[in-house]
Amino acid sequence: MNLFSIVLDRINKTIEWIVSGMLIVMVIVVFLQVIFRFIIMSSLSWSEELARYLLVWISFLGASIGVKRKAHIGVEAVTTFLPERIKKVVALIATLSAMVFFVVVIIWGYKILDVVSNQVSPAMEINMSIPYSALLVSGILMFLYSIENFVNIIKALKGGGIA
Amino acid sequence: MIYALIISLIFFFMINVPIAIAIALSSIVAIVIKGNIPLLVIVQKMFTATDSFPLMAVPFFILAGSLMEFGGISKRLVDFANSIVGRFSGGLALVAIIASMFFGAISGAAAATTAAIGSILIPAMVRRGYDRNYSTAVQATAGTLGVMIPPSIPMVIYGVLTGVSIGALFVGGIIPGILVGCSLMLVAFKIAKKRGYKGDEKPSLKKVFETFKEAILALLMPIIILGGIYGGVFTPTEAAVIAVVYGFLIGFFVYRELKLKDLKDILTNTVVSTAMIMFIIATASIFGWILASEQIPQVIASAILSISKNPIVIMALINILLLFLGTFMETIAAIIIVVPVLMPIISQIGIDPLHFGLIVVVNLAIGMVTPPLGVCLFVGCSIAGITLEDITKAVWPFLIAMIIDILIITYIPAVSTFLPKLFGM
Repeated sequence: MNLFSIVLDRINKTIEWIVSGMLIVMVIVVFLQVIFRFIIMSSLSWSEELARYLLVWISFLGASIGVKRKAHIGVEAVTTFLPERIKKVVALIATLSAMVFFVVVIIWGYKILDVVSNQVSPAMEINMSIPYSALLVSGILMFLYSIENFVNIIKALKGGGIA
Repeated sequence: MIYALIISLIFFFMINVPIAIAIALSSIVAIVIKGNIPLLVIVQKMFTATDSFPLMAVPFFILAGSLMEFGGISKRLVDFANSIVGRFSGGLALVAIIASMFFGAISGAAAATTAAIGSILIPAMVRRGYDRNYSTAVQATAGTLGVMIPPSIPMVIYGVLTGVSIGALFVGGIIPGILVGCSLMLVAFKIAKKRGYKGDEKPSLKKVFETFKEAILALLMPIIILGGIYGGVFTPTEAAVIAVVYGFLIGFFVYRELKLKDLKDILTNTVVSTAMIMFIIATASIFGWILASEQIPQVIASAILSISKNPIVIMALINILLLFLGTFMETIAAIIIVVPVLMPIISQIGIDPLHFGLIVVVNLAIGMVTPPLGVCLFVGCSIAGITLEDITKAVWPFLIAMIIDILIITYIPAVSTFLPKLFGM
């Protein structure tokens, strides 16, 4: 395994810990919200908002783990019937297409930060670029993981081996 | 623009671009061709789609199911089901179906149900001399009960999309779920009897009580969830978080089978499963926005209504469409794409959106076991170590039963709406 893959694996492992932590916080926050409403009879003002922004982060960081694990579901109805080599070429085109989308997410995920960075959230009054930057970060991660996938398919095509 | 959207979507599906990304790409193609919309709308829509409190029920229900599975719940549910129906012909097959119904009342997903119960019962059935293909077919079809019996992730998504009360959908799913469960048991029993698969000896009343006592904490969970939502005490999201805490406490402190070292994997896998769904929701919101701004649902509605205005005919067509989509497409993606398109037709022919929600969920659930593609088929086959051809031969009788069920659910609205109405939902 080359340095690039090792670094990506490290990053992905770290992200896995981060999202696990975020999920725990999300559970605790929403649970507290219920407890406060029923037992202490007062509502928390910030809990729902915090939980929602955590969900945004979890969704997009989780999607990047999905790209790394190749876990995103596709429609395999057509490609299953293709011969091995053509299947790989098609996989190459599919990976490239996905990368186009990731670039769009990176560029406009960055641009939108300009738009929202002068807004603050209603309840916690945090800068809105904090929740919004989930898109940019996830776009970058997914793009990096796709490079790795792309290189692996090329290698498999050249070597005739199995990707 | 609309042709570019549809053609590029089909193209990206064909070359096996992941569904969420294919939906996003075709939306980008359409927006670029249209020319006057800034691409900023893409990230904007993706953010607002995931920034949702009701959708938080998705990770919570996945997590609760997973905690309960690792916590030793599935085994106890199987034991309890065995003490009730194990004595009949094909007893273990009936156990698989009953246990899946119990598990479905905890979990909101079909693949998880197939895996949790199937990993115990498929090997058990094979050991008892049941045909391997039959055993797998029973378990794969029973697994679909995971999304019909509440809680149900597809119902959460449908509710978020249409504004129909998620609580009402949950309550409405009870009778259809039981109907499908019973019809599967009937088929399993008939086949088992013909082939001479014997049941266990009748267990003593003491044994039944003991297994019930072991499983009671798991069986209480659906009562907490549905009771809390129905009583207006919790929102579905809050009920789901209660389920998480409850599942953790039971698995960790009562059954003591949940280990801290499993927790990291449980959490990460929950996040990834959640993200798969949320990513589709995120990109489909762009797609849906384009469809809506081009008034596509109205165009399709008038096209279909020009063929026939007879609700019976239209519902038959919609059922066929849903079965087809469910076979070839992932459930959540199918719901997000097709429901907004069909809603105008549904309201024009006067179908209750609550009733329609159950028609959609049950149809797509059947799609999960319809060859050649179906997530429950794949999970079942990988547990049993058989091929898709093997299970295809055995699954047909069950599929026919389920299709009869969907016709009943479609044409007798009370099956879905009776309980919600009774509870005034």
